[in-house]
Amino acid sequence: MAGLPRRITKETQRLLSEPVQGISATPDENNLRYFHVTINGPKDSPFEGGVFKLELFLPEEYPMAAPKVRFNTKIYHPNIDKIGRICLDILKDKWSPALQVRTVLLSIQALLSAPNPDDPLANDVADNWKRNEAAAIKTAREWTQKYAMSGGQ
Amino acid sequence: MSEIHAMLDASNSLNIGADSALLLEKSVSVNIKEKLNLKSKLTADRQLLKTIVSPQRQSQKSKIKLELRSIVKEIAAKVTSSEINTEAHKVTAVIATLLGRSSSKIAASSKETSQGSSKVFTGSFPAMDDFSCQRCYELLYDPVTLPCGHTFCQSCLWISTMQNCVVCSKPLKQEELRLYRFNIVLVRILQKWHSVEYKGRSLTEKGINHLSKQNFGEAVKVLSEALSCVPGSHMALLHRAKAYYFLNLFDEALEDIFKVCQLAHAWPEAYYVKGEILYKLGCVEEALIAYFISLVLEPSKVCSRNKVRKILTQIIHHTEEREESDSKSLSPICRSPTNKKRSHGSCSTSPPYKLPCHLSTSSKDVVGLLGASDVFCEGVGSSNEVEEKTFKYLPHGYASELKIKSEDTCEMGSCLLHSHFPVDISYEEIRIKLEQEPVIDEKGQLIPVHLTPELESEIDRLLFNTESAVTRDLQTICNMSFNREVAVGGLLSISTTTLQRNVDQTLIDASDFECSLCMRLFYDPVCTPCGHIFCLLCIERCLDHNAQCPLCKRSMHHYMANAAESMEKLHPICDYVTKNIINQYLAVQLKERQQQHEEEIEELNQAQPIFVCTIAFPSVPCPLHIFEPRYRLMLRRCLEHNDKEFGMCMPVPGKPHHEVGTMLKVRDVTFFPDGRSVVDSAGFRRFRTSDCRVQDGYNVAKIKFIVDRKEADVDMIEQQMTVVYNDAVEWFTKLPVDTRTRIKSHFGDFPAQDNKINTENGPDWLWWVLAILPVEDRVKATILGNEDLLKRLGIFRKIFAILKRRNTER
Ligand SMILES: [Zn+2]
Ligand SMILES: [Zn+2]
Ligand SMILES: [Zn+2]
Ligand SMILES: [Zn+2]
Repeated sequence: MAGLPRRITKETQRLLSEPVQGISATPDENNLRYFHVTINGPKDSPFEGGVFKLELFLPEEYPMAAPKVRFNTKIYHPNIDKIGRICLDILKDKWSPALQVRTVLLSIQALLSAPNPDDPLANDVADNWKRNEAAAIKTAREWTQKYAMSGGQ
Repeated sequence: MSEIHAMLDASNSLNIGADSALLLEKSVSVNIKEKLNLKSKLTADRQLLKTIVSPQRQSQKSKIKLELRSIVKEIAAKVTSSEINTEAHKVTAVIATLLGRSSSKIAASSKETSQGSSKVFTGSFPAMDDFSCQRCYELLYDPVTLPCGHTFCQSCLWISTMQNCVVCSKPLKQEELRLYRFNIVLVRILQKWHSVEYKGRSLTEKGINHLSKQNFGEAVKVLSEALSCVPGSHMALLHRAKAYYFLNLFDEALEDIFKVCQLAHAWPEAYYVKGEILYKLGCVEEALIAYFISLVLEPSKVCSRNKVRKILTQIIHHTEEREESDSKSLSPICRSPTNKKRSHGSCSTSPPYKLPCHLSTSSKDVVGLLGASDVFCEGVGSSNEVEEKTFKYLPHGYASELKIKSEDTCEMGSCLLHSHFPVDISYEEIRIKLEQEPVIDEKGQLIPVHLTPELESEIDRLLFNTESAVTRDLQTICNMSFNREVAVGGLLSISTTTLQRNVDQTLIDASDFECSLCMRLFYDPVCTPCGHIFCLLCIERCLDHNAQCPLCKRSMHHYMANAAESMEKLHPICDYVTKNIINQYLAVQLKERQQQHEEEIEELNQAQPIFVCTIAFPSVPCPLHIFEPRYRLMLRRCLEHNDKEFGMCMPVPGKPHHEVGTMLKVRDVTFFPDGRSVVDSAGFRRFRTSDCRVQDGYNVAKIKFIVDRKEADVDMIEQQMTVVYNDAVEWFTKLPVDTRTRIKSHFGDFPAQDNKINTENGPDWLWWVLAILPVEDRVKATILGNEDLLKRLGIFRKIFAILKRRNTER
């Protein structure tokens, strides 16, 4: 295994020295391509007050290939499925090597603020969201309380 | 005759050199001011000029005068026959003579220059630094970096008709020019490091825009603002001069244009504008000098040529009229020394190029300044007379005498508005243009050409047999005039001092030069058409995966196609300005970055790249089509850092690849615009891999070469080889014709029997036969990895036995 690419080292340094508001990303001790991430639910969203855990992995081809990100905390969101996979264009075909871990995490934070039920990954959630937004938001709040608060799993 | 003096003035000043050219400018300026009833210190300037003219030069002067007189005659003749400069070599000759050199010498020295000989003069080369536009010589404004790596102001690219890059002469694709966006990194740096000057440039462009919309008042206002930011901006001054001109503020226009001619004393456009202003003022002689200098500096400048032609025509026409009506009034100064000999004071046989003596007034002053006291001044008489005449013919007098028509000024106006940059027109076009505009006198008749045989021979003699010293500056200008690529830039020489813009050290920040892909200092920066900069290796790798800019997603197909056209070097060309700036201002950081780069290359060499695709054999050709992004990267690296070699292994399920493989040597590559390539390679060494891993997407491994064991019983092996060879030939000849043709087209002809024993790979033909045998690749790989030639031959015999049996069974 060749050494860690300098870019990953640099990104890690910057993530630690200039953290983003409401986001933390810590590299794993044993694998520096693996990050433990937490994102605070954005203000004025049904996820407010929750602390969501994610895992982020930088594949061998990074930055030519997008990082792999997954929610470890259960979340009721039309673009995030039961096992935590995220539907976000920049993680798929819209990925660009000029994007960084920081930009990816910011985009996920933004996705929590603005769910997009028209481009769903979790179809049932998206359907609920479109049919009865108020009810869906209520459920999302309940899930946040249940799974993302005070160390809840 | 006055032109003779005028040209003489010009030539003297040119021969003396740049400094005195400036002084001459000044003196002429003073002269004009005098005419405009401005008080002057003419005598002081005379003294100054006299001190500059060395005694040596003085002795050469009469000779130069002789030459110049004939040039003027020639030009006058050519002008009236509307044939001026139809052939490039004639222009060469004229310039050669003007500069007092033989044309062959000039041609030779221009060649030397282009070959980069030690005789290249750099003295009056335009003073620029990395922040200057190489076309307008001002600070880069809205910089656009072309695919050739050179950067120009956007306006310089758009307004002008630049056909080739003025630096590298690479042809420009006009239809693509407007697609290029500003170099974003450079814009930021220019705004940050040179904020005041950049603002001045912005105002200048605004002013030029006002001028082109004929908002002259607004143009003056904005350009004056620009000049308060950058007092020495020749662009702002030139255009303000134009604006003043259109506002009929000739005094101010003159002042500006004199400054421009000092700042850029070899800028044809400046002399042209100067000519226009002077012409408008009725200072026809000075205008003629200016037009003529402009023409000499840029022989293809149509507007200058037309003006010279027009004025000379007017003068000659006028002379002829006057000659008829009042031949006695022509003073003896009209006579050239040669003609003087012939006619000996008699006006009856005077030459056809008589010019009105009263036109020589102002230039007489200049001649006087230069201390000329020979034939030319003979006829003038006492200096008192000169003074008298000088004031007798004030601007209005000139205008009326020459009957300057109003359409002249109209034409001049349009030319001023549109000649912001020199138009690059071929001689052919000029010729056509001139033919369409024959020289017609006021009665609508073509003016006849007078060129006596004696005069012709005299011109020939002068044109080709003259030789005199030229100053460095002039030679450079001259050389440059012949170098179209440079001359097309229009602005040949600005100042003899080198420019070094000051940069506030506290503003220098390496993070302004950070590549968004590797997050480090740019290494070999490349600028995309969308104006984004990346390290060469970074952007190349991105383009392997996706033909769009990583930052703005703009398509890069076009760019890649262009790069593929000039793919000798494999890579797109770097952005020289950014590279130079980094070199100069971030030397320490660059050194560190370079070290990293070298370490990375070194790291690549730790393991062999392995192309997992098929089975290859020593000495057998292996054509490949490379399209996968990871292998594009691998191929580029192999071509550059690995002696054009890489390993080839066949895929094996459940493993990275088969452990046995063959090194391939690239013999030829053809790149396609989309980044794919076809590689012609051939195998040469066998190897076994260990430590297989993936690096940047492709496989790499440590390799150990497979070498045949030493054989003692050579005779026995030779026998065996002959048996196998004959078996192989027999089998091959029994194959269907089309199969054989296909094999031959892919692997080449059936090889001759070479009896290589105790070499690394044994006989080559055996590998060729193995390559074409209808045997599973798995079996072939086993044979490939075998180090025992005798055993291999045994396997071949068994195979052929089986194949024979199959054939007979059928
Ligand atoms: Zn420019
Ligand atoms: Zn170029
Ligand atoms: Zn880079
Ligand atoms: Zn871009």
